[in-house]
Amino acid sequence: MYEIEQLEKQWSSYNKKRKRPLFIALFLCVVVVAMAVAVSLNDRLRHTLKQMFNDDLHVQVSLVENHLAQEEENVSMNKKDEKPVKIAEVPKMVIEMKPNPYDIASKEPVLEAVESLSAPEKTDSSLPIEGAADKKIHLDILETSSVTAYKDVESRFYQTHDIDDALFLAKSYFNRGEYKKAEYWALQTNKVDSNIEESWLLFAYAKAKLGQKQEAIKVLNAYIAKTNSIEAKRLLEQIK
Amino acid sequence: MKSRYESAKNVFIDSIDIDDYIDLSTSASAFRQLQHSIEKPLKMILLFGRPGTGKSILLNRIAMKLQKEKEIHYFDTPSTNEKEFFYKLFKVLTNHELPSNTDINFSSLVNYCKGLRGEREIIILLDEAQMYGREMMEKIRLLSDTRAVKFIVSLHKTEDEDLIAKEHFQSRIWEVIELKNATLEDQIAYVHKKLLKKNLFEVANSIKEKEMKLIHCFTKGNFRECNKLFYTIFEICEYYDTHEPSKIQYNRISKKIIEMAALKLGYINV
Repeated sequence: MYEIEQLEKQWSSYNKKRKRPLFIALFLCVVVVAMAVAVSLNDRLRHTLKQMFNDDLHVQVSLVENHLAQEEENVSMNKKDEKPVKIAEVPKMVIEMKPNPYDIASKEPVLEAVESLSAPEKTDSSLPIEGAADKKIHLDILETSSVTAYKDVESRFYQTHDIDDALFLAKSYFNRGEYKKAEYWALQTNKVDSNIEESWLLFAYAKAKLGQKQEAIKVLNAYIAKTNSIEAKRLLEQIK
Repeated sequence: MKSRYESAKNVFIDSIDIDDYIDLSTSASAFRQLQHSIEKPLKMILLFGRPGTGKSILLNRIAMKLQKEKEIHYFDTPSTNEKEFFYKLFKVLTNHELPSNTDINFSSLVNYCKGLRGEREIIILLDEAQMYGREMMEKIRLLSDTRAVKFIVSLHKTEDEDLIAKEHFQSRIWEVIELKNATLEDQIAYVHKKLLKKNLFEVANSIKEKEMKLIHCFTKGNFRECNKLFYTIFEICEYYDTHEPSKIQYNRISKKIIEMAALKLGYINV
């Protein structure tokens, strides 16, 4: 059989051709299995991440809840308000938002001459102090529009009697030249806490701006007699 | 030294030699059926099936079996023309050769046959009847109508033309016997019996059922195709046995060799 070699070659070709679909099917199976494994792993990874995220969220929520509880406690201790604080929807992340009137107002040189010598404890209200979370709450609310924001802060003050709110409004109105309102909010601050020097100075300065110079002097003298404040003395000199 | 596969190869040389006949359950059944039909007062019997289903060897065998009991004649080769056919028939009927310069008058032949009714019953086995033309078949029918001559016609059944042929014969046929391709079991038995008949035990044992399934798949149980395939398989085996013995397994016929043979015969293609 002289053609046996030729026949063997033909058979080799046939055998390869026959096995080709098998290899393709095998390859496809491997691809499908690999994809299935990848999808499965992806699902697991996603599930794990989700779980981790959820855990983190739980921690954050519990922190916020704890904080709220603490705040509520503070408010009750101040014995100023009976209603609960409504800040549940306030996330921490709002700290990233645009600057708000509160911060601007707190940095404004309301009492230029006086503040150059201001007492260290009240000059920078943006510093982390007790009740920092409250300020974050303010930021969230104030992002809408400035007019609405002032209204919101005012209405909130009536609920919380937060001196920061009142002082912020006093400074803001003073900077805007609304001295009557500034006087009012300085007085509100003073009603909550009569030891805040800034409220005294703002109150006196607003009086002076409103043309009630004598009354302003009288207020400052009373405060100087009480605290011997250098800032008050400087303002008194300025008004005179 | 002569390869064992050379003898095995020769076993599968296709022939209708009665000595090569292998008694299978299906062929035995067809044989009995045909024998039974011959006993009936029928004029024409049609034996049909695809080429290679064993029609010729069945006719041959029945002729051999009944030659001493009945007046039976086997026309294995179809006559190329009418004259030749009637010459052969004349000799069968009269036991005389027709003079070469004479023609047969068909009417006289029919009358002669009519005269034989009741005295003789002549059985004519016509193989490859599809070779006979329509007119010729009409004359055969007229002869069978005399009831002195009984015709058993064997006909190929292919996809198209033989169905038409069958239809052509339908009105004239009294009984039809169909031969079909062998089942796997029959084919295994056929191959083994064929080899054992020639004392090739080892070769017969080397053909396993798994490989037979593949062979049955290629040949579809056709005996002629089976013979062809086995001939080629053993031809390849013979080559390896003689030239490259390392490439052959003596305890079994490898799938590779079967497929090589199938490639050679065109059952499969590259």
